[in-house]
Amino acid sequence: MECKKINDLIFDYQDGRLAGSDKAEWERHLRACPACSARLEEIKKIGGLVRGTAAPVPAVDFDKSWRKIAAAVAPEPRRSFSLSQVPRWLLLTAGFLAFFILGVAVARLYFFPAKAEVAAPAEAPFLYSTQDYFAALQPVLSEYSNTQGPDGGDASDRARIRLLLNNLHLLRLRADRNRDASLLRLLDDIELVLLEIAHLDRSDPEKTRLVGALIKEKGIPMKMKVFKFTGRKTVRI
Amino acid sequence: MNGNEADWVVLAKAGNRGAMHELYERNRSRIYSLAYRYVGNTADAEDILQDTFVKAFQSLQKCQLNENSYFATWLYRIAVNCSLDHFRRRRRHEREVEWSENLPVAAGTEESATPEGEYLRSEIRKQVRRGLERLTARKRMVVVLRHYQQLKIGEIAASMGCSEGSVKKQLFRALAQLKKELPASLGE
Repeated sequence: MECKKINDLIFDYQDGRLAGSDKAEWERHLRACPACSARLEEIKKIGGLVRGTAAPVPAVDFDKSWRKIAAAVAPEPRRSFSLSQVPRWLLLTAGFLAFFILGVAVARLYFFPAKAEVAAPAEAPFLYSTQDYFAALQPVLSEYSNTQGPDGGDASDRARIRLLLNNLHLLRLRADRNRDASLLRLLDDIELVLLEIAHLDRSDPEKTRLVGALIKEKGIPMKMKVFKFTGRKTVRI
Repeated sequence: MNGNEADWVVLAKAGNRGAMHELYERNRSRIYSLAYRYVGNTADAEDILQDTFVKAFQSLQKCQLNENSYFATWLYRIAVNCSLDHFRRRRRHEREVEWSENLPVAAGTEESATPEGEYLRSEIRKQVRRGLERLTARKRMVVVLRHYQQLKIGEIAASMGCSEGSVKKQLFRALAQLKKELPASLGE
């Protein structure tokens, strides 16, 4: 083993890390090499002198140090929001604006109350054209023209008559705007018949027969056919 | 890291103050001893002790210590770095950083039983301290860790974050410099 290698292993030898053949070879070299032996002694001596100056560590107030450490490690407290941090002018402006907006809202509710939405009757679809209206009216007239009266139940029949009466106003307005006098007269007759049916006592077959007679007397089905095939503007009834 | 300490470390990592205190209690003497023997006075040693634990707990919460690391070794390394920084800062402002004159002496030996022996010991101590004061920060640390803290070369390397070869080299040089500083009668 060379002297350089021996020097490298001095501290390992002191730490007890050399073992087996390495340790035996190291010790053999030291016995044979006065320079390396002297170097080891020198290191031991200086180390011993340094260790001799090692003084006992004086007592210290560890609790005081802990308090400082704990204060330094403590998470930074969150800055709590306070109204006192807000400038006074900003608070006044915000307060005035809030008061103004609230006042406007209250006044609006008081002076302009919201209009209640008028729900359209569920059973009142519009029959947009005269032809549609006549198509809906035709079966009613046919049923009341015979002596047995309508086939359906009382409730469904009344709903059907109500629908026809409601839509009659639309047709009358349109005919009036078009100055269609013959259609207006026809609509008057239809309204008369529908009102009779609406107030009809269905338990009395005689009264049902009278309605059929009224329909025939007014000639409503025939007039409707004429309108259906020729159009309202060319035919005068 | 033993199981018990690992649990404290996990809790401390989560910001548990009780766990931090427990870790402080377990390691404070070792860290203070290193700091005191390196800087040589209680005031600076206390500063280093506090800096070490503050840095450790702050780093711990930022997850710089993984599960397999040894907390004690890691903490010791922080203490070494804090001591080196402190020493360098002080040296920048003062020409030399001296050990306190009131430093308590080591336990007496047979030599110190006589007045001559006590005088001789006092002289040796002064010479050695003067020699240590002239060492660079790292050389001084290596000597302190080796001869005051009784660490092995591997432990010194782990504490200082360098190789064992580098530690040996620093130690050889430090001892050679100390030999030059000491009177011939002592060094030889």
